[in-house]
Amino acid sequence: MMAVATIERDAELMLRVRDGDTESFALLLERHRSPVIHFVYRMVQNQSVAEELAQEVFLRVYRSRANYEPTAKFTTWLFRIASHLALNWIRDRRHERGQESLDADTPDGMARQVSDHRMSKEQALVRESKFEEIRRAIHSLPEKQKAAVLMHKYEEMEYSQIAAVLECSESAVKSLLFRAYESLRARLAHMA
Amino acid sequence: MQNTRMTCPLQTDNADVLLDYCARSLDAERTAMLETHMKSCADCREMAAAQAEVWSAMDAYEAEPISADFDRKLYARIEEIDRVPAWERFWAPIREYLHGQPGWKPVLSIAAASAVLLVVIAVKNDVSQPAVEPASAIVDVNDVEQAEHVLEDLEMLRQFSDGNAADSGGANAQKEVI
Repeated sequence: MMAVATIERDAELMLRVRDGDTESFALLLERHRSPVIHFVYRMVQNQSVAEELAQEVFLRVYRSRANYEPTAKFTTWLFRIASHLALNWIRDRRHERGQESLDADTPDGMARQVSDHRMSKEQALVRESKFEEIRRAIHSLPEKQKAAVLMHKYEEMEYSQIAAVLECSESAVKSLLFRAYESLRARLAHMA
Repeated sequence: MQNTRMTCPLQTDNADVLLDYCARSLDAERTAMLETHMKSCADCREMAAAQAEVWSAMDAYEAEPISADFDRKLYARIEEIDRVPAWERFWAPIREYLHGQPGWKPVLSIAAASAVLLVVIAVKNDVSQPAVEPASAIVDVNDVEQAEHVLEDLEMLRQFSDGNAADSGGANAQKEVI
């Protein structure tokens, strides 16, 4: 979980960005680049789109610097922007494709090269197949459940922060997570 | 003496305790209480085991490596932003938003035309009426009809836009999510 010192550091850096310090923006980017891109990637399941959207996230942070006030956690704000952009992208794409199921997409991850040469071909195949099954299971979740699970599992966010990002109550987040993990248990329990 | 018994999380709508337990984010005291409870509760035991398996399986969903030129591209875009004049920066997001709202384009044109029309009506009334007349007496029936037509057109376009949105199924339903 994110330490208080880290939160204060982010706010402090952002206040410096507001005052025109570009070095502080670079530090913020360094600290949050990976979490944001990884979150968006798991949401949209396409690396180039994830990077494009993540750029937009940081651009929006930069554009809003003049009006920044540290009223909430910086990461809450950051992930709120990221989830809005990802959810909008998913919605637009679904709209463009006439409600066609995205589950049929060729996953970006399938094109991944197994870079670890210590891994045997068989191990690599098992790993890829496991990856693919999890990808599909997560992708099959309703969007809001998916966002909640990704923040809970991979970003280790507390319920209150997920609630703040998704702009809902903490009990709604618990309910979203319960339903999401229930679906995932049904689909993935055999994999352990 | 401290109560170390826990009521069943599944029967009291507290399944998050089991999620926290599997995520290892439950404090030591409650972990001990839950483990004691699970010894006598098969449902919680089963759910915790299945959740732990899912939790561990999800570790395999690794993210992709980030492109080496991510920062370079971002800073290039930031430079572009800094070059754009302030008024353009203000207008750009509005334009971007409207660009994605095809139904709004004709409405905007009509709204602009209506605004011009209303200004013309106001000016005409100001000029054509004697200064001593009270404001309520300077209403021109034709102008009112014209304004009503414009409003009707706007309403028709709004319904048309709504119709389009309805045709696109749940596209707008996602708005509710955020």
